[in-house]
Amino acid sequence: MLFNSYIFAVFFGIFLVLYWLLRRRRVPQTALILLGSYFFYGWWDERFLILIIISTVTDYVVMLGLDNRRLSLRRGLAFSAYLVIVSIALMIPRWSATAWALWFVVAYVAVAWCIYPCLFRLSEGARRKALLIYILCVDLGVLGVFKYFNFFADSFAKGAAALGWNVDAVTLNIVLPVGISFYTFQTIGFCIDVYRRKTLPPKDFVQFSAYVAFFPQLVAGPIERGGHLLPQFSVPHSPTLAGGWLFLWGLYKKIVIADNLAPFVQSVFSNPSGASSAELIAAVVAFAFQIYCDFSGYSDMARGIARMLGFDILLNFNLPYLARTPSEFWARWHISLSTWLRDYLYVSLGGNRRGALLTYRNLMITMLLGGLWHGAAWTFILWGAFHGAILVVYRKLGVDAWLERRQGHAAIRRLQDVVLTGIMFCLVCAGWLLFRAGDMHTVASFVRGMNGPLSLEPFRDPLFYIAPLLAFQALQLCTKNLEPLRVLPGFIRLNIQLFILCSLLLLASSTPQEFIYFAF
Amino acid sequence: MDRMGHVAGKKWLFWIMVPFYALLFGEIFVRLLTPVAVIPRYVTGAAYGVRVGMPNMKFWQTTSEARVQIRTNSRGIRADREYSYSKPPGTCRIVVFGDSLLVGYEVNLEDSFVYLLEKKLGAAGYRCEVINLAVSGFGTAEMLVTLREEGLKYHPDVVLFSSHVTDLDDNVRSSLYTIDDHGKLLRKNAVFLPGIKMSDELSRYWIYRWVAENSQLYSSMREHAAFFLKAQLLRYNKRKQVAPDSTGGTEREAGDRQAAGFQERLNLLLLEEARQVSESSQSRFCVLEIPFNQTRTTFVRMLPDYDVQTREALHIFNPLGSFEAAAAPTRKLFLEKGHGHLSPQGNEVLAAFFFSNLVATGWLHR
Repeated sequence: MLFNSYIFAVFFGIFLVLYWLLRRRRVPQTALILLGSYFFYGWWDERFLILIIISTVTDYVVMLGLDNRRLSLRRGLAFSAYLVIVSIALMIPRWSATAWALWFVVAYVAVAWCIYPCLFRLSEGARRKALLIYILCVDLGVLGVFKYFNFFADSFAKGAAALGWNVDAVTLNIVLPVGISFYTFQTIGFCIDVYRRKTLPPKDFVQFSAYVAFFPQLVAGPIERGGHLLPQFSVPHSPTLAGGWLFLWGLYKKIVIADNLAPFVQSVFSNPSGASSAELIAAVVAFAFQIYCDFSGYSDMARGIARMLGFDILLNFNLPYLARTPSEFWARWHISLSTWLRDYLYVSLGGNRRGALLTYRNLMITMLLGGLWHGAAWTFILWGAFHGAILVVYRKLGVDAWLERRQGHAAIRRLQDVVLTGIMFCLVCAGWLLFRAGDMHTVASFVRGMNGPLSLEPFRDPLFYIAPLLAFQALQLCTKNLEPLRVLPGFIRLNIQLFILCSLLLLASSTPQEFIYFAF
Repeated sequence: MDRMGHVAGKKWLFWIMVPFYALLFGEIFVRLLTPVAVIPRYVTGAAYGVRVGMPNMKFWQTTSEARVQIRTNSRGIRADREYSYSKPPGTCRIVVFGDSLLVGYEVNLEDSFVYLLEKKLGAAGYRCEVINLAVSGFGTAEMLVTLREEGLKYHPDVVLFSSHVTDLDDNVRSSLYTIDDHGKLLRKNAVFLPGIKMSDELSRYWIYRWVAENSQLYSSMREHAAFFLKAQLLRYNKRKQVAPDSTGGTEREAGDRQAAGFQERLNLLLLEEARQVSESSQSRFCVLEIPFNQTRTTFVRMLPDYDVQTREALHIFNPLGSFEAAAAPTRKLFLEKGHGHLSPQGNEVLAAFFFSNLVATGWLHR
């Protein structure tokens, strides 16, 4: 179910009415969010709900264990029965093809029953470590099978062939479950926080289930933190219209800007050898704005919907193309992922505490895995390596440190900022070329083709859609507020709102595109 | 207290003004950023269950290429004169059925196909009336109903059906006819009058007519809504009338494939029925294909290539060659800024082609 579909409008309309009816009752309201979220996800494919439910139950039990709380026999039986009953219910519609999944769940529950008592014979430290390793294996194992198995099997076969060994690639006919990378990282982050004793484990299973499956951010983030979102389920909420404009602004970015840029980008990237150098550059720049508007549009819609339900979810984008350095860029782009990678990977690897060389290594590993998170393809890994490399180079040059301590006239500092922002935007665009190309042959075609005469003509159509975004961002800068409509005078606000509404009604693309980050 | 009342009054005034300001903003937005053609279509319901032009109307269609006035007579026919049902002695009659292309939308009456055809026939010495029963949005099914219920009353010597790619969808959308289990044409519904009640009601008010003829915002919204509703109706009727085949692909692909075959068979049966109805009233029947323009100089036939026997029986005239011969990069045979109707040059090519072919049949006498 896409936020920009009619079916979502119907779903959300009914949901809001029920939500309003339950506005003073916390428990039923949380249950409604949980059921609504499962319905929202199941609309795409109900079979894959079982993955979310297994992950939820396992993470919940493990987090209790990390807090030295042992599950009672009655609760253990209840969780086991819950998993089996839900599996049967979800597999019934396609029983002949999916019955094996039920036996898998039964086997998984049986193994868990065998392992669980053994864990509590270990010392506290060993048990906590074992539980953390167990949950990482389960969560990353599911992610690995569904997202990366075919990629690694295929790459292994190709690598072996290059060495002269003939190995047949064993690939599986696997569908990538929507949002698996997002909710897996969300639950892993929560477990690590509990392990590090930064946060307490969830008290209420229904609340935790609603936290994992919270539909506004379930399929494409932001990747929430337990300490931020979960406590919000402890109080009843009243629906408000406060998030309406944020939702519409996100919808505008998606269906007016991103979807209208998509055909041009697609036409050039599908045949780069037939495009002029100006068209190639325009396509890369257009893709930079397409992916930004596509993803940040989704995030804004998610935040808008959550706000309408009375929840606050994390900011995911903060004017990323105004970044002056790579570290600033990652503090502004997909903030929930970059902070996740920083807190749970970079810091775990040692961060910048063990000298320059190890810091560079940690940066490279973090960005490589960040690239791989986006998708199972070598171009994504290359994209991650590229960003890792520019992070290392900027760190080596000390640009961030220089920016902090520089002095001089404000106008000169501003000019320096403009130059650095321009350089950074060009570097980000080079990264997007790797990201979008799909294979190295396309990248080579682009690089070869860009050395020709330039003209502004191919930029005209993309600029038609990008210009209002740039104007809005200028407004965000001037008002120093990411939601400038809140602080602008009424008449200006009215005109911006009318512009957004008119654009949604009259300029929306007639060929809707799927959200790019759904593929991750 | 007075001051508070004053502020409250100002707020009310603001909220009353907002809708008007929003409409004005929208109109300026459309005109500046996404200008559209203003092509109102005044149709009403005929007693026999399908649409007919609204009688005694005079309205403007405006695009960046043309501004034309459409005038209808007391029977809703685009003409500046009345036609009696009885045929004047010594006069032959051609009754034309089609959609907005043959009504002559976006061109002046003097540049329309029907007018040009009558002029050419007159110049060649034929005393002939060409009566235009084309209605915007018509498919073959509605043409057939109009022929039975209205067209034959004019005692035509020649019945001309235009055939355009949109007919295939229009026939399914109207659901007036379907194909029964034995492969025969079956009348399914008696009435197809989409949105007519509302449009009849609205058209009574001059303010609505003024908005329809002058507002680009209204035109844009109406076209968006009509496009969406027509697509939904078509999808619904396709699903209802056509079962997916079993030759693979997704359910939707299978449905579309099957629907394409169904639509072609239905169109052929409708044309065959129209021929029989015409011939049973001693009228000659023929079909004039209208090609689809891909560019200014390339055109394609979008209708199926029927076998020779069918083509000869139905007297199908295909002007593709004439269009290709007349085309040039600097010459527009179809209008480009509006709804893609035939330009004055396009109408001229079509009329000249049909005139020469009609004369060659020997159906008319001087």
